[in-house]
Amino acid sequence: MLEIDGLSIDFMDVEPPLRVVEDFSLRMEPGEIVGVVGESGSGKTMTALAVMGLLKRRARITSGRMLFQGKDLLALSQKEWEAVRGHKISMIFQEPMTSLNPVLTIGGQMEESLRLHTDMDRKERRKRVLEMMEQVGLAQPEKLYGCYPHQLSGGMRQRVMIGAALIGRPKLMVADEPTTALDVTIQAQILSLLKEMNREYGTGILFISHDLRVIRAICSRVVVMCQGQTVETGSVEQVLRTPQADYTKKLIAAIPDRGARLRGGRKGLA
Amino acid sequence: MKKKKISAFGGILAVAMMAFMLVGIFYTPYDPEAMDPFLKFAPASLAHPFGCDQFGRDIFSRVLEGSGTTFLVALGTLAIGAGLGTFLGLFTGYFGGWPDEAIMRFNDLVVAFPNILLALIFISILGPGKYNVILALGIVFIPSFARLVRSEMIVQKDMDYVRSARLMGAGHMRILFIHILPNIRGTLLSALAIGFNNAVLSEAGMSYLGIGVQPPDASIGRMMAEGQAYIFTAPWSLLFPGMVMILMVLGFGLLSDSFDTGTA
Repeated sequence: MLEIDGLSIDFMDVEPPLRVVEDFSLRMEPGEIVGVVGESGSGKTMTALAVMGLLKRRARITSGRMLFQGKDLLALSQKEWEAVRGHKISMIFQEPMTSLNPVLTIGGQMEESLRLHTDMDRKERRKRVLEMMEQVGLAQPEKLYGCYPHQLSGGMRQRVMIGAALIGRPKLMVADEPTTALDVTIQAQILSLLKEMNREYGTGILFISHDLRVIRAICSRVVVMCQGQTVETGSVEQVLRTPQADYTKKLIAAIPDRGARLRGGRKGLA
Repeated sequence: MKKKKISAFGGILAVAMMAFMLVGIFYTPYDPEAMDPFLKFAPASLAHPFGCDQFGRDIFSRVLEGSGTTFLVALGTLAIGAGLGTFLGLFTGYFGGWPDEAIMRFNDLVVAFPNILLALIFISILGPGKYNVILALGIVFIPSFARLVRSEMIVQKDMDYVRSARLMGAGHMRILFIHILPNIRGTLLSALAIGFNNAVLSEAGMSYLGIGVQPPDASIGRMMAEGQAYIFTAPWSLLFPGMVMILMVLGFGLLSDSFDTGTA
């Protein structure tokens, strides 16, 4: 469904141009959840923005191919992009506190994709939004519909964002650190919500995170990135159990392991 | 609580003055131009609540008509100045690049001259009169609005909610007008109220100098310029027009404050 081949991205505003992503390749089947993991600055977000066609002016794709459902994404015009974004491909990102427009209602913002990409009338849109709210676990949708973002907690806002991203039944959702700004219990809820939505709608998820634990919880395959390079790729099982690259090993070592700490503690006592 | 009371007072005052000005456009108790030699410098009475001026004209009627004129001029000025200014600010702030540079440098050029001087230049080109005053003041008012909206725009355009709107597939125009514009509503409203005040004062100032509204149209500024000569013999010919102007400016000033702090 999504095929990225040898993608390279350069920042053009420095001399010589700075390569932030080099030779990135990825193949995603429909309904698959693929993780991209790496520390900040490793080029994960740049890759995600490239998939959305939203790279800043200073960044340029210098080589590679991106096919989505057989269509060449790099050849799309601005207008064509606007028809794809939010409709076929959608995205959620890290800051649920600020990603919603403070002066528009929750319902209105969840409708945005329907308003832009379908010719549903107001009643139908409202119905779909209320259903969606129910599905992403937002209680009292009728009441919430007319609420403003400041009346919601961070976890609720991220649910709203996920609902808004999925309401147009996209084929692919890019999730850029969607749980990083949330506390751990909410994180777990959001992850299981994403999995559930993935099962329900068959939406493929490109899941970007710096946290291998989160990747392990949700993805089937993973790409490990470091300073713009792809250092390792494979199934999550395989990468976690038998890491090949030193960088991957370091990342795995950085996972806080409650079990190990407990065992260490006991040893200390004995 | 106290703040709320003040802004409520400002709101009521502004609405009352607005009503006063609106009435002045359509109705005056006497013909504001009618002279009566027997009423020359007549003091305030029940028949003439603000008294009469040096030609025996009813000052209340003239103030009413003058504030109607002022209202139209201020409204026209805002329509041109705030309208074009907001438009320019929205686009330059959002898109940036060389058009932004060019327009803003031109803005700086306009701002470098004192407002009254600029208006004077326009009037000497266009000739005096109500409509030319509107045009001149309107043009003079564009830069302040453009600059204000542009700076707000620069803050807003990189906000996450704008990014999410882009991700939903919204186009630039939709983002500008549906997503961002409501977010700068507060700033814009308070700027409008202040702008209204400035327009009122500028019009009065220009009319005072004799380059604004021309006879036979009444104008508060001109009434004050004329009444000045009789400040000791017939103070009401200066006092009442001045009072109305103060109330007008005070009302809109307080209103703008309350928009600014979000207590409106």
